Amino acid sequence: MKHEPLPPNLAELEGRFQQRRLPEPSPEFRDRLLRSIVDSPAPPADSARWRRRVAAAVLVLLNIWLAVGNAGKFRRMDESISSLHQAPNRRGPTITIESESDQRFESFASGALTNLRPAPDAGVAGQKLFGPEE
Amino acid sequence: MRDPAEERLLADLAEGREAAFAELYDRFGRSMYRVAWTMLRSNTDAEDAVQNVFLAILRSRKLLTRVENLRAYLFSIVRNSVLRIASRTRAEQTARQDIATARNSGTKNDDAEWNDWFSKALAALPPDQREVLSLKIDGDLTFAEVADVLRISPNTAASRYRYALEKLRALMKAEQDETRTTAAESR
Repeated sequence: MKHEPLPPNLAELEGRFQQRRLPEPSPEFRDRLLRSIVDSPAPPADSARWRRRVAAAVLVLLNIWLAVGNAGKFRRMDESISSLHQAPNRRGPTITIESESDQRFESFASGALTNLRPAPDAGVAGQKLFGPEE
Repeated sequence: MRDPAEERLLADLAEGREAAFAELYDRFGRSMYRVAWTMLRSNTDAEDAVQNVFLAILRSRKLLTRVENLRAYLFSIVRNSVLRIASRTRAEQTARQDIATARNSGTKNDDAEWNDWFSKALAALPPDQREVLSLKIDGDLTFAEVADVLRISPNTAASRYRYALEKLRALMKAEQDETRTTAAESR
């Protein structure tokens, strides 16, 4: 691309500008710069990047697999509930839940009733405080 | 079409070879530093800017094989780095204050005076013109490369360059007139 040449006075100024002295970088700057390049932590290698991608993909797949599994379970549950509603006369087997903790509670309760003793007589103070109607 | 030496350098950089970074510095380090210094007017900041460029290249070195024009690519990163540092240090403001004192310094007889005047007069230019001037002269970029760096058309780059020189010329003329008036008054 051709550009219009500068008039002589501007060309002279341009020449002076080109020749102006500018400060130079300090002598040790080059070594310092190259050392910083060597010391700089390397960006993650390609293999590390691939491992991270594979791990992310596995997580996504696992998530999808669990979501599909859950959806199947809910659908089956829904179907069994609707089949119960459709056949109201059909009664299923009576389920008696008798766990170990229930049994323990039963025996504790019956033992507590047999060991029940009347409270000691409150005496005169009790008769004064609580009337015969109580 | 890239030249084979540049192609090889880019491939070596992409592989993270230290020697390639040394070569990159030897080829472009000085001009990158000059551009950064012209924009930031501080040795430390200019060195920081160049160092940031190298670290940025190291981090994104895998992309280097896609680079069409290495020089334009490098100076785009220099520019970004300079802008980031400039926003932090506000070097521009200090530079603008200096121009006021530069105006009254009289005629320039030697290189040192010219250098001093240029470095201060540059601060009086609008940032977009200063960028073009520095990239073209200090970075040794063509107008097409300057255009690539600044994401403008080559014609805009050329006209900004011309406006920058005209503005410098006008500043110089104003200063000369002022000096002449002061001399006449003192007689």
